[in-house]
Amino acid sequence: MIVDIHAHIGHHPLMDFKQTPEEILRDMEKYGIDVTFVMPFPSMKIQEVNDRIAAVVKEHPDRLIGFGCVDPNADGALEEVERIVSLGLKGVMLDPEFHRVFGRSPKIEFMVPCMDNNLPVLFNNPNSETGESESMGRETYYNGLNQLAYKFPEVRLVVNTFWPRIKELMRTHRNIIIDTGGRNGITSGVGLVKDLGPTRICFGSESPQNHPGLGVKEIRTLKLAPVYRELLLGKNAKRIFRDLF
Amino acid sequence: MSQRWKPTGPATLLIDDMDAAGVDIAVVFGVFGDAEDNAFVAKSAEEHPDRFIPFVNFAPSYEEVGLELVDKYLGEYKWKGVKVGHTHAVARFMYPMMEIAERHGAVVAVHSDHSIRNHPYIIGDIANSFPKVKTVILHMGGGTCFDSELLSTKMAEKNPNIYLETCYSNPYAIKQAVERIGAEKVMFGSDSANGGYGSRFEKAGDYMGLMLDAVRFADLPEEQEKLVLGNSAAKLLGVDA
Repeated sequence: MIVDIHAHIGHHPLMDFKQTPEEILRDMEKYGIDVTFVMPFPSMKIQEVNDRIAAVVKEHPDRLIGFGCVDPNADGALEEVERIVSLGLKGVMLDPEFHRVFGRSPKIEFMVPCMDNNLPVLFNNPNSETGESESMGRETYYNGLNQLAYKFPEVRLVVNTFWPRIKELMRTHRNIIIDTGGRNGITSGVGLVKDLGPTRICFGSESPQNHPGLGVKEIRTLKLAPVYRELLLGKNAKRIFRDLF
Repeated sequence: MSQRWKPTGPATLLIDDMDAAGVDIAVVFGVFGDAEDNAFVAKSAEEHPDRFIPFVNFAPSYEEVGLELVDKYLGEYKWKGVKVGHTHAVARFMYPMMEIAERHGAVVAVHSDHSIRNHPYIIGDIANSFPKVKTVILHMGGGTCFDSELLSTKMAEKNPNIYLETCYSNPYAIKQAVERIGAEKVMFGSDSANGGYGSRFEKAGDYMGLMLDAVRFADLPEEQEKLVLGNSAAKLLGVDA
């Protein structure tokens, strides 16, 4: 079974990329992907984009699992999490480059309904200047995730391989899960397998920024034990997010 | 290619990859930009003249010595291009290097990424200052930062002397580039080496094959795909396709 835990539907408000549900389903068929976690791009029109995701997953309940976007600073952030649940969406997506998530006095109250409803929280950061190296900066990201994972140890937090000091964070917090986040992320993910083991790394294409077909092929051709490949391609996602299926 | 790149091996390692992936010819260059590294490329190109087209690797940190190497390989050896790696794309010595390249009619290919040192806009600036020098933005700014891939295309739209090379970029960005600047300005590249990334994959050619697939998965019309996979580069470098 192949599961892609990170794909977007819609048109990014800042950047020139977009994707339709039909394009996702076409690529799933073409590249043998069984289930895809779909989410909007970050937006100021939170309810509108979340409603769209809900409508799409209702049409394809066996193939698509929906996540909704939340702006932690918005007045109605907690209510939007509850609304996400009522819409039938199964997780929350944050975009720390679009909506402020970390930094001084971060508003993290929205994590309570996430915990209450057992919603995983996925961080979308396609354009971060992040990296394993501390010299790349982004201490704010490191500290923010460190705090969040400590304060809400029951909430599954999903980030990509380029999160600052990700190895250290994953050794410290069992609730942090890796989304391979595209091709270079997959190659880096192989390094993480050596250091952290294969059980908390899941294939995520982050399409349309990256291509799901290339992601699947890359995992299939990298030097990895075949049993590890199957974990990355779908078994980890099926186990870690079993309640979402 | 390099003798010091880790992991490394003979130049034939790269040819093994090319054969397995179905690549006929590769533009090759060193990694460090010093005399030893460029000499290794020269020796490899002499040994495999039908497979390798050498570019001189220029590192601005070597200052006048780097310029002398560029002049030597473009002048005496008649090499067709210069490669600039992970350095500052508008370093002080980049400008005299571009003058030498212009004098010899050489192509200049510059590594790009999302950093301030090698951002496509930075490379666009130097290409804009030397409109007669055909300048290739290597990797289209891609890899970890999707913005950079799209911004490479914007730079190429504004500067007719800019070409894009595709490795690390994804099909979405490659397709957009072809639609906006034409397939003759977009060229397949893999960033393969005699060792390097390819060693992380199961078989020879796997890594290069993935980079080829990034072009193939863009679902371009056949003629455009042929241009990107080889004919654009052949035309730029004066090689029979």
